Amino acid sequence: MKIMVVDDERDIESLFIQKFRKEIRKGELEIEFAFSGEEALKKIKNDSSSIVLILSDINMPGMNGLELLKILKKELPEQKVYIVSAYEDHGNYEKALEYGADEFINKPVDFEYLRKRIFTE
Amino acid sequence: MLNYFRKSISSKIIGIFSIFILLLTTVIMFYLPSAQEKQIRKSLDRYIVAVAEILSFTSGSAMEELNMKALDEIFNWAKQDKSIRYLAIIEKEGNILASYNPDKLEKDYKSLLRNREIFEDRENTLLFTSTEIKYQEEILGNILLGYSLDETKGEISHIRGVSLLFIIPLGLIALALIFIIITTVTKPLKELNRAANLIAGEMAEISIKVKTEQLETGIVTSNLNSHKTSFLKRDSQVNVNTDDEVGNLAKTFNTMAHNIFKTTKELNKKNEELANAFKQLKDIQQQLIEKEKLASLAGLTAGIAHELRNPLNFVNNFSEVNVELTEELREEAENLKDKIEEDNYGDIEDIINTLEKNSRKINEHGKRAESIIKTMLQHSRGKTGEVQPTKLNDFIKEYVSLAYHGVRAKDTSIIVNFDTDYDDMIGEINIIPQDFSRVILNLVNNACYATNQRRKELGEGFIPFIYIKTQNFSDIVEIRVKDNGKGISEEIIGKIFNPFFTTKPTGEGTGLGLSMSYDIIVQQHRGKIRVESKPDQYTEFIITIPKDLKAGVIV
Repeated sequence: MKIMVVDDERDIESLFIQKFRKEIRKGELEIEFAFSGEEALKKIKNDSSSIVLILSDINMPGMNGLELLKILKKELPEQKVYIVSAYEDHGNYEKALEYGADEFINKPVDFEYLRKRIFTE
Repeated sequence: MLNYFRKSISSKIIGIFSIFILLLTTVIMFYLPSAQEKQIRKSLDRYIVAVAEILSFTSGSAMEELNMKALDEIFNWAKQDKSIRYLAIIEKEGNILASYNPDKLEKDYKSLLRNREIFEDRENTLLFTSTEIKYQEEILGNILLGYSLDETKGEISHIRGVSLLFIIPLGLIALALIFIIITTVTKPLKELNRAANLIAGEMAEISIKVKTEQLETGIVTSNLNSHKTSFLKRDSQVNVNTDDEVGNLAKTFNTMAHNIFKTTKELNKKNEELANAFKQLKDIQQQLIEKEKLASLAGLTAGIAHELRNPLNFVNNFSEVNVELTEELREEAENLKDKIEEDNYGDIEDIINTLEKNSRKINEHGKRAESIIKTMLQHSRGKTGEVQPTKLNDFIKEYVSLAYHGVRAKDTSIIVNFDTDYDDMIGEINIIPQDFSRVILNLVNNACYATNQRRKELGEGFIPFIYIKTQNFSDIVEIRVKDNGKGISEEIIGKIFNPFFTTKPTGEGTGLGLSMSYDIIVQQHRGKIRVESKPDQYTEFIITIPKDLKAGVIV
């Protein structure tokens, strides 16, 4: 199972790897990281089929998460995309739904919940 | 003296009249009489010459015949005129044939023989004239006549005396005229002058004040003292009632003076209003500046709080992972227990335990920081609650209870007694429940805290009380929350609704509770909230909500 995490905050990579260390050690999970919307698109184009889930932050410099979502849903409509946001305002939530996000997750991320969602996909 | 003359119309008028009177007097006293005198002299001269001629005519034949009787009769005829003081018939040879000299004049009058000419003998006030006595073309001699001027002089002085008498009525008339002119013209003019001076004087005072104020104004921080400007102290009116030009001038002046007075009064009123409005503006300006500061500070704080969530998130997550890792490490160490020296193993165990403890601490404080930030952000978050009809008394009861249990959950030592008085006439009131509940929670929390503080000071004997009362009025509802806690001092009671203002020690409160409650009540519910307090006795919050808040509206 391979997922992609898109976030401009580099420590997110370290956190995810530590949180899922057991699954990674057992080979059950592989995490690909992208630190910008553009990087994410590039990596996906190279390797589109195997990624089961894309997790993206909204607030990133350059292309933000919602724009990435829009493009992904247009070009790869089958791809599951979860949007993660620190803001609890309704504006982003509505936009994410409009662009076709499969889930809207609030920060701080509940890793147990995420674990459940990943392994039931 | 000349100055006085220049400055006063009265003196000019008096001067002109005096000159006029002087001229008149001169004319009356001197010119007229002397003119008359001349006239009289002229007539007299002609008369004397005529008399002499008549005498010479009549004495011609008598002298020829040497008829002394006839000459006597002629002399008697002449003597009738008592002014004739000398009469002499002088023969051609020079001797006096007959003479009449009642005054015994001794003079050589023969030398005065000039035909038909008048000779004035000043010494004796006599006029002499002589005429040739002719008889049949032959000159027999001369007749010499001396005429006294006394009578004439008497006449002349009489005339002079009478003329003088005319001066008195003239003088009186002149005085009367002067008086009339002065009253008609000068007096009103003086009045006008006086009133105008008054106004000018006071206006100068005002204009000086205005000038100094113009120097001070120009910057927002200046002080307008214009309410101290004196206005014209009275309505300077002139009392002139005639209908002529002067009267009209006075009327116009009065109107003008009155208008000036009125205008100045209005000006001063406006000045006062301006000064007040200015002061109000300054106050509002200050308030706005304060509000701006607070608003920007609040925005800044919200921004900071938001930014802090990310790092805190990592702190919490990594510390959690660390706890898990220490657990795994402990397991791994146990597996290697037999391969390690006991002492070393003990050390390893201790280190692992410490690592775990530390990570837990980090996590604990991180979560605490997160909750503080959450509360702060909650306070400043946008209000999108709906207005709903709510059973107010039940609502308040519920949240009072919630608040109390919440407080006791954090500190079980807190015990508060509640005394309530709910007005049954209050039914459903339109409020925004989510936000209004926060107000109740906040007030009850504060009350519990305040009473608990007092109990800490006074000991177990002090019984904390919170008194909740609702009361129904025709157009509003009143809610009172009163506690017998420490109270609020006069210095800070004005600040308690300010955001971030708190008397609690650092970390224990955000200082946003009352500020939030104030906004909810005043802005969202269009109500009022105020506080009354006596230090060391009580604090009471009084909320009033209008009943006409529209339901179903997102405020």
